[in-house]
Parts: sequence; structure tokens; C-alpha cells
Amino acid sequence: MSTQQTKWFERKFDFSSEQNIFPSILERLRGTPARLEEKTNAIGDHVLNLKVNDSWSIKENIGHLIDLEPLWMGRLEDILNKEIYLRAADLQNQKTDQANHNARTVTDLLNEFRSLRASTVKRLELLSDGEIFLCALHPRLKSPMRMMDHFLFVAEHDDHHLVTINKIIQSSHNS
Amino acid sequence: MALPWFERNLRFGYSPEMLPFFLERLEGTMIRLGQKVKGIDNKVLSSRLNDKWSVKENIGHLAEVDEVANKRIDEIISGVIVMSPAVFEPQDYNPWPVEKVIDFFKKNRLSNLAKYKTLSNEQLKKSSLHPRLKVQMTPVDLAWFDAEHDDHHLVKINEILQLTHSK
Repeated sequence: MSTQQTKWFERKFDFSSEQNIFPSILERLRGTPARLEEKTNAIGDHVLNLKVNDSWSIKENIGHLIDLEPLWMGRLEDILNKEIYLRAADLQNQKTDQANHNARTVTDLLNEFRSLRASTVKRLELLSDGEIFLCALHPRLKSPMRMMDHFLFVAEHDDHHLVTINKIIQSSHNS
Repeated sequence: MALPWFERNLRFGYSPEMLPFFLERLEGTMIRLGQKVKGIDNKVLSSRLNDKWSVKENIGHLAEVDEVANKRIDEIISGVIVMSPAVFEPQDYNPWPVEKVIDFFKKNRLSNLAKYKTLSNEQLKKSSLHPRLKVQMTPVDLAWFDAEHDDHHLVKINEILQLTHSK
């Protein structure tokens, strides 16, 4: 397969569904910790810290998911509080660049992500059907984003980083 | 509660650049299923609540669907006009150990993943008609469709496990 993956900031999202597909989205979010753990299981620290073409290492990709979880939860509160705009993301990702995630063990990173994601899922399980369809404007996309769309966006973002991790692992096999 | 699968409105037309994400999801299902059934009593995994499919039957169904998907990929590539129909009622997987049902699913899933990875950009743009939905689907659309279908059954499995815990 010679196909290149679409870059995150070039991704187009289809938020047109009028159906409640939130249970499936929640199920995707639940699955990410196990997928990350399986992927990084039995990979040496050399590969986990590897920065291909000066981009984030596997540990930094996991760390980035940790760094963003409070933003996702903050946006949940923005929607529930009926804010016009969702809070902005740090588009430069300074938090991840400065966190030095490579200095931590992968087990530590995975445990933190699992714990944060479990809290997110627990909170999402309490949302009512009405709350799932509440919305606010996305600050970068300038389009209305319902609670359901927001967490579909998060699930897609998880997948983006899982694919990025795959590419790093493949690169390490080729080098 | 999961929306009935046949009531889902699905949109297709995904570009080949989206395939890596869909393959990642398809691969992840094996791990998610393994995690879900870990430590769960065999009786729970085999029980049919309200005469609905058991956990094992949901997993076995995914394995059977993958056999159809494998055939459908070949059909799209060879220019067949209408793809093969879907499968519905699964065989009785309840007497099987859950590990065997998961291994059956993994075997089929790994075969499909390997097949998707051999496809060229040109092949990824070919399409055939889906027999029920009456829409043209490329291999990329098919991968997305199956990833969504996996999630639907993972939700179903969750519902069964939650119901048995609350009893």
C-alpha cells in the first residue's frame, strides 16, 4: 500500500449525522488505551524515543494524547455551559514539545493515559440524549460542533496518532 | 443503546488517503475484543439475553462478515457490478471456547488487512454496488463500513456485559 495518510490539519470531517451514534463513538474512545498498549508492548526504549525526521517519538505521541485530554474535557464543559465558542487549542502544541515525555517510561505514560481516558468515558456515560446534541462553534473550523461531533473528532484524533505510531514502528524496521 | 445497524445512515466516498486510519481501526478491533472478554465467565459469554445474540455469536458474526468482506474486495477489484450479499444469523458459536471464536475472527481479519495493504491507488478507486444499500463502494469505503460495523457490535457486547453485571 503506497497510500499516504491525510495530514491532521487537512482532514475534513462529516458532522452531518442526525442520528445518535454516540454509543459507537464512546466505544471507540474506550478502546484507545488497549490499542496503544498492544502497539507499544515489547518495543525497546530506543524505538519508543526515536524521533523520525525530528518529529515526535512514540512516547511523545502518547504524551500528546495525555496533554490534550483536559482540552477535550474543557470543551465538554464549554458545550454544557452554552459558550458560543469552544476553547482554543494550542496549535503549536507547546505543551507536548516542552513536556519531555521521552524522559518518562512508556508504562508510566500509558497508565496516565488509561486513567485520564477512563475518567473521560465515565463522564461521557452520564450525558443525556439532549446534551449529546448541544453545540458550540469550533474555534479553528468555525463550524458548529455538537457534543457528539466533538467526541467523534477526539476518536479520529486518537486514530491519527495511532497511525503515526505505526509509521514510526515501520520506519524503525526499515532503518 | 446502539442504533439498529440497518437503520444507520451511512455516507461513502472516502479518499485513498483515509485508508491507513480505517485499517488501524480494523486492526484495533482484535485487541478491543480480547480486552472485553478477558476474565468474563464462559456462561456470560454464551448466554442469549432476550433471545439476542450472545457475546460469542457477536464475535463469530464479525468473523463471518470478514469472509464476505474478503470476497467483496476481490469483486470490486475484478469489476463485478454488484457485490455479494451480507451474512445474517451466525452459526452456533456458544459451545466454542471464546479464545477459539476470537482466533477465528483474528484469522479472517488479518487476511483482510493483508489484502487491503496490497492494493494500489488505482485499485482503491474502483467500486461496485452494495446489494442492500444500493450505493457504489470502493475498498476504502468498505474498510470504513466494516470499522463502523465492528463498533456497532462492540457496543452490543458492552450492553450484554453491563446487563449481566446489573443482574
